[in-house]
Amino acid sequence: MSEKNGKNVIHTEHLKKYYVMGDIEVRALHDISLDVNYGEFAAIMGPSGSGKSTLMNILGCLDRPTDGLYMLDGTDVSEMDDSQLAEVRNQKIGFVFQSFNLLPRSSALNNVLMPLLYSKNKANAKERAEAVLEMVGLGSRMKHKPKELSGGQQQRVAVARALVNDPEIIMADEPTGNLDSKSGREIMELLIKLNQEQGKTIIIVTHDPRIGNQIPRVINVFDGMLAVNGENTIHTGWSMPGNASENKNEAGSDSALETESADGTSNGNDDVASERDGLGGAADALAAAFKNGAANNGKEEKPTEESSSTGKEAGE
Amino acid sequence: MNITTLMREAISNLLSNKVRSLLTMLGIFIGVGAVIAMMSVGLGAKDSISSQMSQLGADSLYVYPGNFSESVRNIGTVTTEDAAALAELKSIDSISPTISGQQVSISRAGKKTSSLNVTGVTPTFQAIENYTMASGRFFTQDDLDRNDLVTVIGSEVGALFFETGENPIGQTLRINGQPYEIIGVFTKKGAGGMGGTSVDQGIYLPLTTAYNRLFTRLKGTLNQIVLKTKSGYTSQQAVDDAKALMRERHNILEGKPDDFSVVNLQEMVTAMNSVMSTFVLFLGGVAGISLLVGGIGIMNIMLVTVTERTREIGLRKALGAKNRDIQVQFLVESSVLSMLGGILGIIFGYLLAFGIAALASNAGTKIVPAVNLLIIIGTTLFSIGIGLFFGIYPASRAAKLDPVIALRTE
Ligand SMILES: Nc1ncnc2c1ncn2[C@@H]1O[C@H](COP(=O)(O)OP(=O)(O)O)[C@@H](O)[C@H]1O
Ligand SMILES: [Mg+2]
Repeated sequence: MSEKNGKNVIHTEHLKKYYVMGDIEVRALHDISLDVNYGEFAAIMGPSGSGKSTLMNILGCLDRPTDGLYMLDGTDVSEMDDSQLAEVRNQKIGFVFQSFNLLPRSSALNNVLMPLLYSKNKANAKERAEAVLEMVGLGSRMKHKPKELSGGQQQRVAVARALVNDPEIIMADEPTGNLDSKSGREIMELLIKLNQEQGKTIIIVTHDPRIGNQIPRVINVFDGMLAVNGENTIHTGWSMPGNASENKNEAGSDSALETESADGTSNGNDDVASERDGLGGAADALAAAFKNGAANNGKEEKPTEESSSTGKEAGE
Repeated sequence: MNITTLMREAISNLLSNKVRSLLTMLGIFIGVGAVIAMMSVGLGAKDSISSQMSQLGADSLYVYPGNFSESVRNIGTVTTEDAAALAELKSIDSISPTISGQQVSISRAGKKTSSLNVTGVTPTFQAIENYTMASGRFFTQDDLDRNDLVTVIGSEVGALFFETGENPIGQTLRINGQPYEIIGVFTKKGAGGMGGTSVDQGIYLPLTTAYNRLFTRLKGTLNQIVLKTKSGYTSQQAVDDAKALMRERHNILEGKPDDFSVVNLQEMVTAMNSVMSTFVLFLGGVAGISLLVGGIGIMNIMLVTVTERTREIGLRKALGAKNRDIQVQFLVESSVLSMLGGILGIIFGYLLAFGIAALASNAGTKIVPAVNLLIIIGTTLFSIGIGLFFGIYPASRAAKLDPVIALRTE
């Protein structure tokens, strides 16, 4: 992992996010101190309602912490006003959402151009947008409207949009949550490629251990706090290919039943990939995991109450 | 974001919901249409009235027998003696007494006989009515003193009895069977004055000749006396003097109504202008209410739009849009909406104005609607202003949305 300015791209100290609802204080995040290096690929994992999205929103400068310090790319952003945060989001962060969030009446190209509308750097906007669309493999679909594209293609447009302003970090909250297994795997492959080939720092939120297990660093969040032993880092072998294998286990089953209330999806997979070692195997393993999952993937739209056995990943 | 991008996006958003956009524009459309129709017809009518007034001369007073506003038992007569006495008033400069008869048979050898108006006049008539001669001359005092059988005719009468190229001067026209020598032809005046027939269709005789040859039973009476106010006096002074003198001469007791009328043209113009102003004000009020309703409609729809597009707003903010960018986007959208309503309203208003003018022309009143570039530009800017004003609240609601909450909204 490279370092710029001798600092981490993300450095937080005692981040807190409290919501006051009537008399009750909801501690969505409590005392989060973490560092993310330049070029790292990290997954935020945890049960539903544990504060993953809240953390992601603060790291993405969409929200401000109630308390604590957040240094992004060497700048303190915890005390910035709305307008400054907007500029930081525009320049340093590319978002990928679970539900794509493309403008339905705009072409893929115009969707990708959106961040540049608000950017100071508008030079060669069209060329840059075309280049990132080429890179995500949609060079021939630039004029297509979102509804003329498959879900996976739409999410690739969203990735292109996240890339167009050449941000430091790509943040994706459940990027595969609304996709079928094959498209989900392709998006993961794309994100891995961006990390490995372009050195982009990538942070994704996922509650799917089959994805989490492929990712070199897992940040486990539980009840708004970083879980004990939460740093599930598989640095060894991340850049070495390996073999994919699958097995059924009870823990995986429970975890997979867990639903994501904030994002409104349910994952009914029974099969979970076991721990992986080897970077090259990540994609293969994902492929295998998703292939397996596709058969049982009940795509429920309605969020359900939080399921049992939370914190399985946290405990890892 | 530059304004072209903003406009293009605004128009594409409005087009995506055509029916709703059109219905929203309706208030502005009707309001602006009413303003435009009213202004162009009003200004056109005002123009045509004031041009008629300037033909007649605004410093003229008219004395008529009878009372237009109150009923009197004996309709008095206005006589040549009255005229002579009025001429002596210090506030009166000159007078033109006239007697006229309708449907007098006019003929010329080899031409069809026509029934036309004949008016007996004095030499002051031409100057007071501001008529010019196309050929020949007007009456002199000598013509009156000699009771000469001479006549001055309007241009259309000339065209009726003479071929083009034929000179009517010196020719004979039979009026009620008697031969009159044509000594002059008036220049064509065009559109008829208020009421009455145009000078172009008139036949004029010396007053004395008219009494002795044509209106023998009406000798000494007058249909109308035109009085010119002397400079240095107001028309009102002249009216007061004329009224007082006439009441005295007609022995009208204190408290009894006049048996004559003195009409002040200036007063008529003022009265007409005030009627017009009231009318314009009333229509302006209607238009104003319509514009207000239209504006509120725009605000309403913009609030709906903001709610519908909460997620889009959240997305734009996530991608780096500042509160101001969002605010400007929605302000542009609301003002484009009302501007389009305004432009359609302007077109509709002028169509309406020309429709009204066509109806009025058929009914005999010639109105040319005034098309004024300043009004068009002003109205367009005003419609944009309405959109901006009523867009402020929805746009700032949009701008203030929290991106996290907005992105979570379904
Ligand atoms: N705007 C809010 N107001 C009150 N409570 C909130 C708000 N946003 C999130 N929370 C609470 O914070 C906790 C964490 O939520 P979230 O970050 O969405 O969890 P996750 O994404 O891990 O499912 C939850 O208990 C949730 O109810
Ligand atoms: Mg979430």
